[in-house]
Order: sequence, then structure tokens, then C-alpha cells
Amino acid sequence: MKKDKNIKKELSELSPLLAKMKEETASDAAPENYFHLLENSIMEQVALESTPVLQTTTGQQVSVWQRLFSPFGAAGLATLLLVAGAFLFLQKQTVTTAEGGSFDSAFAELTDAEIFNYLAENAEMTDIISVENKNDASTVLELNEVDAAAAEEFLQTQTWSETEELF
Amino acid sequence: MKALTRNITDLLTQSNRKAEKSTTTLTEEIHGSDAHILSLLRQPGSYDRGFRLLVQQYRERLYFHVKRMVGSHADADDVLQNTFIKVYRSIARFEEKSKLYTWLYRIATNESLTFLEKRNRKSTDSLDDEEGLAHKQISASGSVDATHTENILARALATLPAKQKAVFNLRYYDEMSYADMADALQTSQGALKASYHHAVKKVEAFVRENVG
Repeated sequence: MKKDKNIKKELSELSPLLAKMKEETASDAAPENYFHLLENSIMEQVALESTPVLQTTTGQQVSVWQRLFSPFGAAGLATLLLVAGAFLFLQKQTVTTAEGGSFDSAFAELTDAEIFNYLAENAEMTDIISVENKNDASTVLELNEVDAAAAEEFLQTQTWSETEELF
Repeated sequence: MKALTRNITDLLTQSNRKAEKSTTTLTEEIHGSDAHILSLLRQPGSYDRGFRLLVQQYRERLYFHVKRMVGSHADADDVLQNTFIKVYRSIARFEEKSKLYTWLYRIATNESLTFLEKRNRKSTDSLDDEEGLAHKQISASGSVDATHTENILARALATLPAKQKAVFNLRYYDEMSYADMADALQTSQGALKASYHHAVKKVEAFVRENVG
């Protein structure tokens, strides 16, 4: 047993009286032959019991394969595979995002005229309104470059039911 | 002739070395370091030898620790026998995460605390207090408690709560470090230090009241 060297100092500071008493105390004693009798008594009692052997915890050589096929090894391996799968999946997601980023930069290089021409040829009017999120008639006229006065004149020639059908 | 003398000298030297080596081995066997005890306990063939060595190595230390806890030789004997039987039964589960000796002190202390708890329950039923009981036992066992100083200290210890008594004993008598005490009593070092300081003050107050 490792004894603490500071114990005497600590006790002297805490209680000089007890420190002095400790020095005066006689060494411990037990009844004569007690320890020999105790040992025999204990050994007689344990002789009636089955022998438990201490498990080896140090110095035991266990191969990698033995470790892998143990229940803990298999659980560890399964966890590792799951983590690796999740990592690869997330990495793929990141690549797609990166591609999206390059599309944005290519889109930025187009002129407004090129975009309008493309939309005029390929998109419906409702798509454009939806994209711009502006549903008022002025925006629709603006996007189609229609002369407002001509449109007004056209609408006045239509009946109410014909005008409703247009929208 | 010179060659013969040299041969005899060499033989004597070798013989002395062998004798020294065998004495060292015997000493190690008798005193039995914890590592040696554990190595014997790991083999079914040497288990009983290892356990006997463990008993020889720790019987005195644990006896005095337990006796200070319970107060009398008869009770200490019962508790100590239970302690070693428990050690025998649970040694297979000892994982060597702690030192062998702190593990043994833990079992001995727990056995003592269980014994004191049972005795306190009985003494409460019979309206007898722990100090009064300990005083009777200490006074009755005159041969064990030879000196007046020891008697006073033993009576002072009887006034401490059981766990504080264990802390005081391990530090004051067994001179155990706080780190080992923390391992043996499964408590933090800070709490142990505070508990020991309180115990010392209480024991000192008791001694001052009862001496003189």
C-alpha cells in the first residue's frame, strides 16, 4: 500500500493533539495465534465451495478475426458500415448541389433579351405569371409587349361573355 | 593450483547467487505482491494457493480496519470471515480496474457498514446507543485495548457516523492516500477530505472533553 507522505503534516495542522496521540498509541494487537486460526477457518469454509477462477484481462492474445466474429465485433462492424453508407449518400447530395451552383453561374451569363426570347418561345403565359408571382393585368401586358390602347379598343368590341372566355 | 582455487571460488559465487535468488523468490512468495496473487488466482491449479496468499497478505490490515469500525474482536472476527468468503465468491468478477487492495478494503468496509446498520437497528429497539455499546465492548476487551489513549480514541470513533468513521480510520490509522480512499469508498476526493477534516475536529473535541 502506498502511504501518503503529507498525512502527518495534514494531521499536525488540523489537530496537534491527535497528531501527538498517534505517536503515543501502541501498535495494534490481536489475540495470540488469531491470524493463523482465521486463515485455517477461512480455507476450510472456501474448500466447500466451487473454485471461481479470475478472468484473464491482460496479456491475452486475441486475433482480429476472433474480435470481428464476437458479438461486440459484429455490432461494431455493422455500425461502421452504416456510418460509411450515410457518408457516401451525403457526399452524393453535396455533388448535386455543386452542379446546381455551376448551372446558376451559366444562367447568369445569359442576357435579359436571350431569356425573354426563350420564354416567349417555350413558356405559357401562366408559367411566366407564376414565376414572376405577379397576377395583375399590367404585368401580363408588359411581359407580352402589348400596346395598352390597342388592347382597350379590342376589349370594347367584345361582348361580356366573350371577354370572360378570354380569361 | 591457481586454476583449482579459481574454480572453487566461481562455484561458491554461483552457489551464493542461487541461494540469494531462491531467498528472494521465497520472500516474494511469503509477502506476495498483488500481481503475483492475481497471477495465481488466474490459474485453476494455483487458485487455492493464490487465495491463501491473499488472506495472509491482507488478514492483519483488514482485521484492524474492521475492528476499529465495529469495536470488538468478536464482531471483527465475524465481519472479517464474511469479508474473505465474499472475496472468494466474487474474485472472478474482479476486473482489475482498481487495485486489489482498494477493492479488498471496499468489501471489508461495506461488510462493516452493513454490520453496524444491523446492530444499530437492534440497539434502537433495545434503547441502547452506539457509543454506549462500543464503550461496554471496549472496556470489556481490556487485553486488546491496552492503553488509555487507544481507549479514548476508540470511544471517540464510536461517536462518529459509520461512513465518517471509515474515512477517519483509512486516513488516520491506515495512512491511505485520498486517491486510494476514493477508490475504496467510491467517493470523490474532495468529499473525503472534507469528511476527514470534520471527523478530526469531532474526535479532538471528544478527547478534550473526556481527558483530564
